Amino acid sequence: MSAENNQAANNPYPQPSQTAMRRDGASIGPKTHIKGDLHAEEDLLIEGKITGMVVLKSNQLAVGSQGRIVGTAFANVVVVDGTIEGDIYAAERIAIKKSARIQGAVMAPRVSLEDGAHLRGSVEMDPDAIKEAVQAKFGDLLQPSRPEVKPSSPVAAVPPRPVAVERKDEAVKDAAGDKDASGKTESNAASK
Amino acid sequence: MQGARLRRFPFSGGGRSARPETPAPVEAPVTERLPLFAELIERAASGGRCVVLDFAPPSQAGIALFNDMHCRVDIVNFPQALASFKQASTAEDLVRRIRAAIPHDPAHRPNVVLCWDFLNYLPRNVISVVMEQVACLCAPHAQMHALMAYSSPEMPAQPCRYTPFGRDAVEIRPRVERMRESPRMAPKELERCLPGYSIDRVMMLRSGFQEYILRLKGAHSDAPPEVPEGVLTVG
Repeated sequence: MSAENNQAANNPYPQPSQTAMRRDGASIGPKTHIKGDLHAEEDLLIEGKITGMVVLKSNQLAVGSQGRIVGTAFANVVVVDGTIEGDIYAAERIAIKKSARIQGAVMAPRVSLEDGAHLRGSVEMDPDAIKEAVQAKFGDLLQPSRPEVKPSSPVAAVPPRPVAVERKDEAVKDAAGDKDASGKTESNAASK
Repeated sequence: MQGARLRRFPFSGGGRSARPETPAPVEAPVTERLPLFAELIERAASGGRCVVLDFAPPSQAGIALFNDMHCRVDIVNFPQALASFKQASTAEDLVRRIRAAIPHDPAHRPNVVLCWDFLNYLPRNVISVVMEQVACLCAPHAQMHALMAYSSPEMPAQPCRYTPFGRDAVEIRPRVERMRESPRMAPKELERCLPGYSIDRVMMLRSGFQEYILRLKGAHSDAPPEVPEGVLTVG
Protein backbone atom coordinates (compact mmCIF):
# COMPACT_ATOMS: atom_id res chain seq x y z
CA MET A 1 0.00 0.00 0.00
CA SER A 2 2.98 2.35 -0.46
CA ALA A 3 3.09 5.49 -2.57
CA GLU A 4 5.44 3.75 -5.00
CA ASN A 5 2.89 1.01 -5.60
CA ASN A 6 0.18 3.50 -6.35
CA GLN A 7 2.24 5.50 -8.78
CA ALA A 8 3.05 2.44 -10.80
CA ALA A 9 1.46 1.20 -13.96
CA ASN A 10 -0.81 3.27 -16.13
CA ASN A 11 -1.75 6.07 -13.77
CA PRO A 12 -4.49 4.45 -11.67
CA TYR A 13 -5.84 7.85 -10.64
CA PRO A 14 -8.18 9.55 -13.10
CA GLN A 15 -7.64 12.91 -11.41
CA PRO A 16 -5.01 13.91 -8.89
CA SER A 17 -6.50 14.69 -5.51
CA GLN A 18 -6.73 18.30 -4.41
CA THR A 19 -6.08 17.24 -0.86
CA ALA A 20 -2.84 18.50 0.60
CA MET A 21 -0.62 15.56 1.45
CA ARG A 22 2.98 14.97 2.17
CA ARG A 23 4.63 13.43 -0.84
CA ASP A 24 6.13 10.57 1.12
CA GLY A 25 2.79 9.35 2.46
CA ALA A 26 0.94 6.22 1.41
CA SER A 27 -2.26 6.29 -0.60
CA ILE A 28 -5.18 4.09 -1.48
CA GLY A 29 -6.47 4.41 -5.02
CA PRO A 30 -10.06 5.06 -6.09
CA LYS A 31 -10.58 1.50 -7.32
CA THR A 32 -9.58 -0.06 -4.02
CA HIS A 33 -12.07 -1.16 -1.35
CA ILE A 34 -10.63 -2.36 1.92
CA LYS A 35 -12.86 -4.17 4.40
CA GLY A 36 -11.32 -4.25 7.84
CA ASP A 37 -9.35 -2.05 10.18
CA LEU A 38 -6.38 -0.13 8.88
CA HIS A 39 -3.48 0.99 11.06
CA ALA A 40 -0.65 3.12 9.71
CA GLU A 41 2.32 5.04 11.03
CA GLU A 42 2.75 7.31 8.05
CA ASP A 43 0.59 9.90 6.31
CA LEU A 44 -2.22 8.37 4.33
CA LEU A 45 -4.36 9.59 1.44
CA ILE A 46 -7.56 7.67 0.84
CA GLU A 47 -9.18 7.97 -2.58
CA GLY A 48 -10.80 4.55 -2.37
CA LYS A 49 -13.25 3.08 0.10
CA ILE A 50 -12.49 1.76 3.57
CA THR A 51 -15.14 -0.14 5.50
CA GLY A 52 -13.69 -0.35 8.97
CA MET A 53 -11.64 1.64 11.43
CA VAL A 54 -8.71 3.79 10.26
CA VAL A 55 -6.10 4.60 12.92
CA LEU A 56 -3.04 6.75 12.33
CA LYS A 57 -1.27 7.26 15.62
CA SER A 58 0.55 10.48 14.93
CA ASN A 59 0.17 11.24 11.25
CA GLN A 60 -2.12 12.97 8.80
CA LEU A 61 -5.14 11.29 7.27
CA ALA A 62 -6.53 12.81 4.10
CA VAL A 63 -9.79 11.61 2.61
CA GLY A 64 -9.67 12.73 -1.01
CA SER A 65 -12.64 13.89 -3.00
CA GLN A 66 -13.28 10.34 -4.19
CA GLY A 67 -12.44 8.77 -0.85
CA ARG A 68 -14.96 7.22 1.50
CA ILE A 69 -14.68 5.80 4.99
CA VAL A 70 -17.52 3.82 6.53
CA GLY A 71 -16.33 3.58 10.11
CA THR A 72 -14.35 5.45 12.72
CA ALA A 73 -11.18 7.38 11.91
CA PHE A 74 -8.41 8.66 14.16
CA ALA A 75 -5.29 10.62 13.25
CA ASN A 76 -3.22 13.53 14.43
CA VAL A 77 -4.61 15.70 11.62
CA VAL A 78 -7.58 14.81 9.41
CA VAL A 79 -8.38 16.59 6.14
CA VAL A 80 -11.70 15.63 4.58
CA ASP A 81 -12.59 16.28 0.94
CA GLY A 82 -14.67 13.13 0.52
CA THR A 83 -17.21 11.16 2.52
CA ILE A 84 -17.07 9.79 6.06
CA GLU A 85 -19.93 7.83 7.61
CA GLY A 86 -18.73 7.50 11.16
CA ASP A 87 -17.00 9.41 13.90
CA ILE A 88 -13.75 11.30 13.26
CA TYR A 89 -11.19 11.93 15.99
CA ALA A 90 -8.05 14.07 15.69
CA ALA A 91 -5.45 14.84 18.32
CA GLU A 92 -4.65 18.18 16.72
CA ARG A 93 -7.17 19.36 14.11
CA ILE A 94 -9.75 18.44 11.52
CA ALA A 95 -10.20 20.42 8.29
CA ILE A 96 -13.50 19.87 6.48
CA LYS A 97 -13.50 21.05 2.88
CA LYS A 98 -16.55 22.23 0.99
CA SER A 99 -16.90 19.01 -0.98
CA ALA A 100 -16.93 16.90 2.20
CA ARG A 101 -19.94 14.87 3.33
CA ILE A 102 -19.82 13.74 6.95
CA GLN A 103 -22.37 11.87 8.98
CA GLY A 104 -21.19 11.38 12.54
CA ALA A 105 -19.32 13.14 15.31
CA VAL A 106 -16.29 15.29 14.60
CA MET A 107 -13.91 15.55 17.56
CA ALA A 108 -10.80 17.74 17.59
CA PRO A 109 -9.48 20.72 19.57
CA ARG A 110 -9.38 22.71 16.33
CA VAL A 111 -11.99 22.27 13.62
CA SER A 112 -12.27 24.26 10.42
CA LEU A 113 -15.14 23.91 8.00
CA GLU A 114 -15.65 25.42 4.59
CA ASP A 115 -19.11 26.72 3.75
CA GLY A 116 -20.96 24.23 1.60
CA ALA A 117 -19.67 21.15 3.42
CA HIS A 118 -22.37 18.66 4.44
CA LEU A 119 -22.15 17.75 8.10
CA ARG A 120 -24.86 15.85 9.92
CA GLY A 121 -23.94 15.19 13.49
CA SER A 122 -21.92 16.84 16.22
CA VAL A 123 -18.70 18.80 16.51
CA GLU A 124 -16.86 18.36 19.81
CA MET A 125 -14.17 21.00 20.45
CA ASP A 126 -13.73 20.66 24.22
CA PRO A 127 -10.17 19.31 24.73
CA ASP A 128 -11.09 17.49 27.95
CA ALA A 129 -14.11 15.77 26.39
CA ILE A 130 -12.04 14.81 23.34
CA LYS A 131 -9.27 13.36 25.49
CA GLU A 132 -11.82 11.30 27.38
CA ALA A 133 -13.52 10.08 24.20
CA VAL A 134 -10.22 9.16 22.52
CA GLN A 135 -9.05 7.31 25.60
CA ALA A 136 -12.31 5.38 25.78
CA LYS A 137 -12.33 4.51 22.08
CA PHE A 138 -8.64 4.07 21.23
CA GLY A 139 -6.89 3.76 24.60
CA ASP A 140 -5.42 0.33 23.93
CA LEU A 141 -4.47 1.09 20.35
CA LEU A 142 -2.62 4.26 21.22
CA GLN A 143 -0.37 2.75 23.89
CA PRO A 144 3.31 3.16 22.92
CA SER A 145 4.84 0.01 21.44
CA ARG A 146 7.16 -2.02 23.65
CA PRO A 147 10.79 -1.82 22.46
CA GLU A 148 11.22 -5.57 22.06
CA VAL A 149 8.44 -5.89 19.48
CA LYS A 150 9.68 -3.03 17.31
CA PRO A 151 10.83 -4.38 13.92
CA SER A 152 14.39 -3.46 13.03
CA SER A 153 13.59 -3.53 9.33
CA PRO A 154 11.79 -0.62 7.66
CA VAL A 155 9.53 -3.13 5.84
CA ALA A 156 6.88 -3.86 8.42
CA ALA A 157 5.33 -6.79 6.59
CA VAL A 158 8.52 -8.90 6.73
CA PRO A 159 9.26 -10.45 10.12
CA PRO A 160 12.64 -9.56 11.61
CA ARG A 161 15.37 -11.80 10.37
CA PRO A 162 17.32 -13.82 12.92
CA VAL A 163 20.83 -12.74 13.73
CA ALA A 164 23.34 -14.88 11.91
CA VAL A 165 25.28 -17.06 14.30
CA GLU A 166 27.89 -19.62 13.65
CA ARG A 167 26.44 -23.11 14.15
CA LYS A 168 28.48 -26.24 14.34
CA ASP A 169 25.89 -28.81 13.29
CA GLU A 170 26.41 -30.20 9.80
CA ALA A 171 22.91 -29.52 8.53
CA VAL A 172 23.31 -25.79 8.90
CA LYS A 173 26.76 -25.87 7.32
CA ASP A 174 25.40 -27.76 4.29
CA ALA A 175 22.46 -25.43 3.89
CA ALA A 176 24.69 -22.38 4.00
CA GLY A 177 27.27 -23.85 1.72
CA ASP A 178 26.06 -22.28 -1.53
CA LYS A 179 24.78 -19.01 -0.01
CA ASP A 180 26.54 -15.72 0.56
CA ALA A 181 29.10 -15.36 3.31
CA SER A 182 26.82 -13.44 5.65
CA GLY A 183 24.46 -16.35 5.96
CA LYS A 184 21.43 -13.97 5.91
CA THR A 185 19.22 -16.03 3.63
CA GLU A 186 15.66 -17.23 3.81
CA SER A 187 16.79 -20.88 4.01
CA ASN A 188 19.13 -20.03 6.84
CA ALA A 189 16.35 -18.20 8.60
CA ALA A 190 14.07 -21.15 8.14
CA SER A 191 16.52 -23.48 9.77
CA LYS A 192 16.50 -21.49 12.97
CA MET B 1 -17.58 44.04 13.56
CA GLN B 2 -15.40 46.26 11.37
CA GLY B 3 -16.58 46.51 7.83
CA ALA B 4 -19.97 45.08 8.61
CA ARG B 5 -22.83 46.44 6.62
CA LEU B 6 -25.68 47.04 8.99
CA ARG B 7 -28.95 47.71 7.29
CA ARG B 8 -32.55 46.73 7.35
CA PHE B 9 -33.73 43.34 6.26
CA PRO B 10 -34.73 43.48 2.63
CA PHE B 11 -38.04 41.89 3.50
CA SER B 12 -39.05 44.27 6.28
CA GLY B 13 -40.93 46.72 4.14
CA GLY B 14 -43.74 47.02 6.66
CA GLY B 15 -46.16 48.82 4.38
CA ARG B 16 -46.54 46.05 1.83
CA SER B 17 -49.40 43.65 2.11
CA ALA B 18 -48.77 39.95 2.38
CA ARG B 19 -48.58 38.43 -1.06
CA PRO B 20 -47.63 34.76 -0.82
CA GLU B 21 -45.56 33.47 -3.75
CA THR B 22 -44.73 37.01 -4.88
CA PRO B 23 -41.46 37.02 -6.82
CA ALA B 24 -38.81 39.22 -5.22
CA PRO B 25 -35.20 40.01 -6.09
CA VAL B 26 -32.31 38.04 -4.64
CA GLU B 27 -30.60 40.13 -1.99
CA ALA B 28 -27.02 40.34 -0.79
CA PRO B 29 -26.19 39.20 2.76
CA VAL B 30 -27.12 41.62 5.51
CA THR B 31 -25.74 41.87 9.02
CA GLU B 32 -27.98 42.30 12.04
CA ARG B 33 -26.88 43.03 15.59
CA LEU B 34 -28.46 40.67 18.11
CA PRO B 35 -28.06 42.00 21.67
CA LEU B 36 -29.65 38.98 23.34
CA PHE B 37 -27.59 36.55 21.27
CA ALA B 38 -24.47 38.44 22.38
CA GLU B 39 -25.49 38.07 26.03
CA LEU B 40 -26.25 34.38 25.57
CA ILE B 41 -22.89 33.70 23.93
CA GLU B 42 -21.08 35.71 26.58
CA ARG B 43 -22.70 33.68 29.36
CA ALA B 44 -22.00 30.42 27.55
CA ALA B 45 -18.37 31.33 26.94
CA SER B 46 -17.73 32.34 30.53
CA GLY B 47 -19.54 29.38 32.08
CA GLY B 48 -18.51 25.76 32.27
CA ARG B 49 -19.19 23.03 29.76
CA CYS B 50 -21.38 24.29 26.89
CA VAL B 51 -23.32 22.11 24.48
CA VAL B 52 -25.07 23.95 21.64
CA LEU B 53 -27.95 22.60 19.58
CA ASP B 54 -27.79 24.65 16.38
CA PHE B 55 -30.71 24.65 13.94
CA ALA B 56 -28.69 26.01 11.04
CA PRO B 57 -26.56 24.45 8.34
CA PRO B 58 -22.91 24.20 9.45
CA SER B 59 -20.84 27.26 8.56
CA GLN B 60 -17.23 28.33 8.80
CA ALA B 61 -18.13 31.32 10.99
CA GLY B 62 -20.32 29.24 13.31
CA ILE B 63 -17.68 26.58 13.84
CA ALA B 64 -15.03 29.28 14.40
CA LEU B 65 -17.18 30.96 17.06
CA PHE B 66 -17.84 27.73 18.93
CA ASN B 67 -14.23 26.60 18.52
CA ASP B 68 -13.17 29.60 20.59
CA MET B 69 -15.62 28.52 23.27
CA HIS B 70 -14.24 24.94 23.36
CA CYS B 71 -17.78 23.61 23.27
CA ARG B 72 -19.77 20.88 21.57
CA VAL B 73 -22.19 21.70 18.76
CA ASP B 74 -25.00 19.38 17.69
CA ILE B 75 -26.00 20.43 14.19
CA VAL B 76 -29.50 20.18 12.78
CA ASN B 77 -29.65 21.32 9.19
CA PHE B 78 -33.09 22.86 9.53
CA PRO B 79 -33.91 23.45 5.84
CA GLN B 80 -33.26 19.73 5.27
CA ALA B 81 -35.22 18.78 8.38
CA LEU B 82 -38.14 20.98 7.31
CA ALA B 83 -38.30 19.16 4.00
CA SER B 84 -38.48 15.89 5.93
CA PHE B 85 -41.16 17.21 8.30
CA LYS B 86 -43.33 18.21 5.34
CA GLN B 87 -43.39 14.59 4.20
CA ALA B 88 -44.76 13.35 7.53
CA SER B 89 -47.98 11.45 7.02
CA THR B 90 -49.09 11.15 10.66
CA ALA B 91 -48.30 12.78 13.97
CA GLU B 92 -46.27 9.72 14.98
CA ASP B 93 -44.34 9.94 11.74
CA LEU B 94 -43.63 13.62 12.38
CA VAL B 95 -42.26 12.85 15.85
CA ARG B 96 -40.10 10.07 14.40
CA ARG B 97 -38.70 12.49 11.82
CA ILE B 98 -38.01 15.13 14.45
CA ARG B 99 -36.09 12.62 16.58
CA ALA B 100 -34.15 11.45 13.54
CA ALA B 101 -33.19 15.00 12.54
CA ILE B 102 -31.71 15.96 15.90
CA PRO B 103 -28.37 14.38 16.87
CA HIS B 104 -28.53 13.26 20.46
CA ASP B 105 -26.13 11.86 23.00
CA PRO B 106 -27.62 11.54 26.50
CA ALA B 107 -24.16 12.15 27.95
CA HIS B 108 -24.03 15.57 26.28
CA ARG B 109 -27.36 17.35 26.68
CA PRO B 110 -27.56 20.79 25.06
CA ASN B 111 -27.80 23.78 27.37
CA VAL B 112 -27.99 26.34 24.55
CA VAL B 113 -30.41 26.02 21.61
CA LEU B 114 -30.07 28.30 18.59
CA CYS B 115 -33.33 28.29 16.67
CA TRP B 116 -32.68 31.35 14.48
CA ASP B 117 -35.84 31.88 12.39
CA PHE B 118 -37.04 28.31 12.03
CA LEU B 119 -40.10 28.66 14.27
CA ASN B 120 -41.49 31.09 11.68
CA TYR B 121 -41.79 28.21 9.24
CA LEU B 122 -43.80 25.87 11.44
CA PRO B 123 -47.53 25.98 12.16
CA ARG B 124 -48.36 26.69 15.79
CA ASN B 125 -49.33 23.11 16.69
CA VAL B 126 -46.14 21.78 15.05
CA ILE B 127 -44.00 24.30 16.96
CA SER B 128 -45.35 22.75 20.16
CA VAL B 129 -44.49 19.22 19.04
CA VAL B 130 -40.99 20.06 17.77
CA MET B 131 -40.02 22.08 20.81
CA GLU B 132 -41.41 19.48 23.18
CA GLN B 133 -39.10 16.95 21.54
CA VAL B 134 -36.22 19.41 21.85
CA ALA B 135 -37.02 19.88 25.53
CA CYS B 136 -36.70 16.13 26.10
CA LEU B 137 -33.18 16.18 24.71
CA CYS B 138 -31.92 19.28 26.52
CA ALA B 139 -30.36 19.84 29.92
CA PRO B 140 -32.65 21.27 32.62
CA HIS B 141 -33.03 25.05 32.33
CA ALA B 142 -31.43 25.14 28.88
CA GLN B 143 -31.68 28.49 27.12
CA MET B 144 -33.05 28.98 23.63
CA HIS B 145 -32.49 31.82 21.19
CA ALA B 146 -35.09 32.52 18.52
CA LEU B 147 -36.00 35.20 15.99
CA MET B 148 -39.70 35.63 15.22
CA ALA B 149 -40.97 37.72 12.33
CA TYR B 150 -43.33 40.25 13.88
CA SER B 151 -43.79 43.70 12.40
CA SER B 152 -43.31 42.75 8.77
CA PRO B 153 -46.36 41.17 7.11
CA GLU B 154 -44.24 38.95 4.86
CA MET B 155 -40.99 37.06 4.92
CA PRO B 156 -39.00 34.83 2.55
CA ALA B 157 -40.86 31.64 1.66
CA GLN B 158 -37.77 29.57 2.55
CA PRO B 159 -35.68 29.87 5.73
CA CYS B 160 -32.71 32.22 5.45
CA ARG B 161 -29.14 31.14 6.04
CA TYR B 162 -27.83 32.50 9.34
CA THR B 163 -24.16 32.62 10.25
CA PRO B 164 -22.75 34.24 13.39
CA PHE B 165 -20.82 37.44 12.71
CA GLY B 166 -18.53 37.85 15.68
CA ARG B 167 -20.20 37.31 19.03
CA ASP B 168 -22.89 39.96 18.80
CA ALA B 169 -24.28 39.84 15.28
CA VAL B 170 -25.45 37.51 12.58
CA GLU B 171 -25.07 37.55 8.83
CA ILE B 172 -28.26 36.69 6.99
CA ARG B 173 -28.45 35.52 3.42
CA PRO B 174 -32.09 36.00 2.56
CA ARG B 175 -33.72 33.72 0.05
CA VAL B 176 -36.31 36.13 -1.20
CA GLU B 177 -37.12 34.63 -4.55
CA ARG B 178 -40.56 34.04 -3.09
CA MET B 179 -42.31 35.64 -0.14
CA ARG B 180 -44.96 34.34 2.20
CA GLU B 181 -47.06 35.67 4.99
CA SER B 182 -45.16 36.04 8.25
CA PRO B 183 -46.66 34.54 11.41
CA ARG B 184 -46.45 37.82 13.40
CA MET B 185 -46.73 35.90 16.63
CA ALA B 186 -46.90 37.96 19.82
CA PRO B 187 -44.82 36.89 22.85
CA LYS B 188 -47.90 35.68 24.74
CA GLU B 189 -48.97 33.59 21.77
CA LEU B 190 -45.50 32.05 21.48
CA GLU B 191 -45.52 31.26 25.19
CA ARG B 192 -48.84 29.45 24.74
CA CYS B 193 -47.26 27.34 21.97
CA LEU B 194 -44.33 26.47 24.24
CA PRO B 195 -45.77 25.41 27.59
CA GLY B 196 -42.45 23.85 28.64
CA TYR B 197 -40.58 27.14 28.22
CA SER B 198 -40.70 30.57 29.77
CA ILE B 199 -39.68 33.80 28.05
CA ASP B 200 -36.62 35.28 29.75
CA ARG B 201 -36.13 38.30 27.50
CA VAL B 202 -37.62 39.65 24.29
CA MET B 203 -36.38 42.55 22.21
CA MET B 204 -37.74 44.19 19.09
CA LEU B 205 -35.09 44.50 16.39
CA ARG B 206 -35.07 47.24 13.79
CA SER B 207 -35.47 44.58 11.13
CA GLY B 208 -38.96 43.82 12.37
CA PHE B 209 -37.93 40.60 14.09
CA GLN B 210 -38.42 39.93 17.76
CA GLU B 211 -35.39 38.40 19.40
CA TYR B 212 -36.20 35.93 22.17
CA ILE B 213 -34.33 34.20 24.95
CA LEU B 214 -36.47 31.37 26.30
CA ARG B 215 -35.64 28.98 29.09
CA LEU B 216 -36.68 25.43 29.75
CA LYS B 217 -38.84 25.39 32.87
CA GLY B 218 -37.20 22.31 34.38
CA ALA B 219 -35.97 18.81 33.78
CA HIS B 220 -37.84 16.86 31.12
CA SER B 221 -38.15 13.14 30.73
CA ASP B 222 -35.95 11.61 28.07
CA ALA B 223 -38.91 9.54 26.92
CA PRO B 224 -40.75 10.97 23.92
CA PRO B 225 -43.83 12.94 25.01
CA GLU B 226 -47.28 11.82 24.05
CA VAL B 227 -48.17 12.52 20.48
CA PRO B 228 -51.30 14.66 20.00
CA GLU B 229 -54.18 13.07 18.20
CA GLY B 230 -54.85 13.90 14.58
CA VAL B 231 -52.64 14.71 11.65
CA LEU B 232 -50.15 17.55 11.95
CA THR B 233 -49.40 19.30 8.69
CA VAL B 234 -46.17 21.22 8.25
CA GLY B 235 -47.04 24.08 5.92
